[in-house]
Amino acid sequence: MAAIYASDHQAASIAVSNMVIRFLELWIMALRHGPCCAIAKIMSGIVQFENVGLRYGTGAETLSDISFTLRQGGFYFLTGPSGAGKTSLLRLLYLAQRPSRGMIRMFDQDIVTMPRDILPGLRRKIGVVFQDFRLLPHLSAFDNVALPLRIAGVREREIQAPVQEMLNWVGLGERGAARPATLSGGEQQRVAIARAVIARPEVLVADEPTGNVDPDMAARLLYLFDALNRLGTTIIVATHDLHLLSRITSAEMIRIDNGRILDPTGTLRNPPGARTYRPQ
Amino acid sequence: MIRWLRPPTAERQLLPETRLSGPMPWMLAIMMVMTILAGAATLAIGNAVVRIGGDLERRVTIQLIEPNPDRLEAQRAALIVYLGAESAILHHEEVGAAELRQLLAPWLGADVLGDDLPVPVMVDAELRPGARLDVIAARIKRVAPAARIDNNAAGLAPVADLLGTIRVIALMVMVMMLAAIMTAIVLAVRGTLNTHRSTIDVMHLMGATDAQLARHFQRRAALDALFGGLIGLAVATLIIALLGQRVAAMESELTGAASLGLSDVALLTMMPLAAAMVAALVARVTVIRTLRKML
Repeated sequence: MAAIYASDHQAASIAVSNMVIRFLELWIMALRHGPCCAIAKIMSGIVQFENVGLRYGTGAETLSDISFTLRQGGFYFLTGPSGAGKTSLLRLLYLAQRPSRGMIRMFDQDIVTMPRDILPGLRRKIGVVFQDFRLLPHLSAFDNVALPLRIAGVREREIQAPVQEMLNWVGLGERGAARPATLSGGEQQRVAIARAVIARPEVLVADEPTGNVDPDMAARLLYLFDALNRLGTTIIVATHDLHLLSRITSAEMIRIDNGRILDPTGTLRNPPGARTYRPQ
Repeated sequence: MIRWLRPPTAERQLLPETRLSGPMPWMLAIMMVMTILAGAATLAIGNAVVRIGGDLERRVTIQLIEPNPDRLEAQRAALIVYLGAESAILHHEEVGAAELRQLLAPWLGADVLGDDLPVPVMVDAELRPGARLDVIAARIKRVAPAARIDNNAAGLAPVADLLGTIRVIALMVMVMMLAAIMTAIVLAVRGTLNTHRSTIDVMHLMGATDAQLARHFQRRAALDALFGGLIGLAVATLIIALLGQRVAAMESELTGAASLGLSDVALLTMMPLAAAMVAALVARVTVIRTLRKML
């Protein structure tokens, strides 16, 4: 996985520098506002939902009284039956929708009242794997993967190498020039995943990311998510795949049904019967 | 400017590199022909109105109508001497007898115009700017009592009024054509936005700003308008040149007044560029207003 970021050494450097920056931030906060504030910051999450409700039009609420906190660097599975509200919850998480009621804080900012001009900056910190991939049909696989970097204004000469490396990693190194229409479902899904992680987002939201790939590729993609998570990215994966749930031991689970989180306390817990996942 | 119109390939490819819609540049070209012709008419007629109001207003024709040939000759000589000495007269020119007979022949017949038929003396004169015609006329009457003074502008007043009205109509046509061009661009941009809605949604969710997305549309609108404008300018130039030839062939001072100066030609040549800029602005405003309705 680290190869995606040019080299193992580079990946390690990024992880260490992230930790140092975070430590410095907390240290400055402790000096300015006292240690309690710094502790509160550590305890607070990168995503906070409080009594969130979502209603489309004048119909019944699709999501009701959703409250949870996702801590920075956490790995979360979102599970529940079809129609439970997983995709609606993910839409709130990747800022495609504002809630009808309640409070959402992401990256220490109130999403509900935030002016829309600020949203693009926050969206660049979020990687999304859509259930239907949503690849741009007029772009090649390479250009689809490069899209977040181009939108972020990364210079063209700094795009080529990491995008090619990411394509290699998802097994599509030779298919960079192919249009999505010529790729199989599994290949399209891998391009969608590569696109979601290429800019190294702070939060990765994935809707059934392994639905169309074989078990080996599913394991490989999960390893990619796990490695990203180790570098500090918060991962939220909506899935029905029970094998997937058992592969990340440190992952926590959010179970949703009928638009509500099932845990009576509204908190998160580890998936039962977790097994240690060892990359191939 | 060139980089703005022709950005790197990767940036251009973010949205499908199609025109706003197939026939759009050609539709803009047709509209631009009408707009440039209306603009040319506005400018040329404006020039004619100015000339009628300026040059022709200062021109007078003095007629000496006297049946007695001796008295006519005496008054003619006195008039020519006076006009030569009067500082308020810029220049004067007597219409020759042959030219006069040629003028009268269609009315009286060439056979009737013998030497014994008294023909009036006619002198064209041009006053200096600011000279008062009533004062000059009184002085002329003193030296040549048989003189009748016609102010050319008075005769051309209805023509000037008509030209003024045509000029206003041409201006209105130009404004309406510009409004039609802007409306066409708004509709084309909205259509393109709908066509590429899913692409725009994805780009939005990846953090593309409204300005980033608007840039693609405004560039395309500008290119289409520039292309249409240049085609329109070429066609309009041909039409204007053809009209100019016909007008020149008439050798009429009045129609000759309705001509285009260098500054007018420069202004008309700038119209495609102006149209491209207006198109870019209209596209930008349309895209940003539409995107504001999305989160």
